[in-house]
Amino acid sequence: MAESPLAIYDQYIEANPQTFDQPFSSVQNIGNYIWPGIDSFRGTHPFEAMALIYSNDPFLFSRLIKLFIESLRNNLDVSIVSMKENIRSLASEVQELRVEIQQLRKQRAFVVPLTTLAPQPFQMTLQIPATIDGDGEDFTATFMEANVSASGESEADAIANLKDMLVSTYNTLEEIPAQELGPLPSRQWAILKSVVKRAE
Amino acid sequence: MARIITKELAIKIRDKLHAVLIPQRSSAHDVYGIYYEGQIIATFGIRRGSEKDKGHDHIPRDINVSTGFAKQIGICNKYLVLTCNDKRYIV
Repeated sequence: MAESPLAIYDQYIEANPQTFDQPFSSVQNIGNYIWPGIDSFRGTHPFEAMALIYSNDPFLFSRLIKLFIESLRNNLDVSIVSMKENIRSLASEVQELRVEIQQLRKQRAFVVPLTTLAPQPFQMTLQIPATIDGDGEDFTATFMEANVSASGESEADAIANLKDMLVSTYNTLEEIPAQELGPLPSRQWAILKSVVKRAE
Repeated sequence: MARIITKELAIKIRDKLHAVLIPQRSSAHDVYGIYYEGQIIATFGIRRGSEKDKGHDHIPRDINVSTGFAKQIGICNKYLVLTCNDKRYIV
């Protein structure tokens, strides 16, 4: 059985330590330095060229193989690092999505019609929709049109607080002169006036 | 909606926005108004009671900002730019 090219290379280096002390940065470089005739192999089948190199100069062959292996290893290292980063990024995205899905599962939103403001001394002239959303621990009730909202520990609590805020906002805006109301409070006041009135 | 804005944070937001208490006769909330150049530009309620972790996730809607932004107003030095009648106000 023939000796492997790498074994030949190692033996050669051991026997001739000063012979090839110039570094070779590429296959082309080693070819030009040791064997300018390497260009004559261009156009031949790579296996054929390699066989010819091996039979003519086993040392050059072993050096070429070693460079080739190092080049492959470097490329492989870069690929592995890049793959590791991609996997880490994907794992992080999957984790974020998992958390969002869990939150969406918990999330509950529905609309409840409000018909009364009792026990407050106010009444509603129109039924208004209150949007309730929450996750089982906290709920927020909102009258979207007037941008009035309130929170609570339960749906009922949130609705009771919304009614309270509707009345409080009504009282607040009623007492402020129109010229002192900014655009949002002006709109709120216009809407609240049309759906809420003091009970007689 | 996992109790992002607690009462403690709501108070910080109130202070940061220099919101003014609007006295109410009887209410479960203390109503605060945000004023700028003599005009009230938004109102919001802070629930009465001593519990610091009471949920106040309604505040971002009341002041027309996202929950994350409202939280940042309370916890850091983020300022608020309001656009009103084509004018920009920095609060």
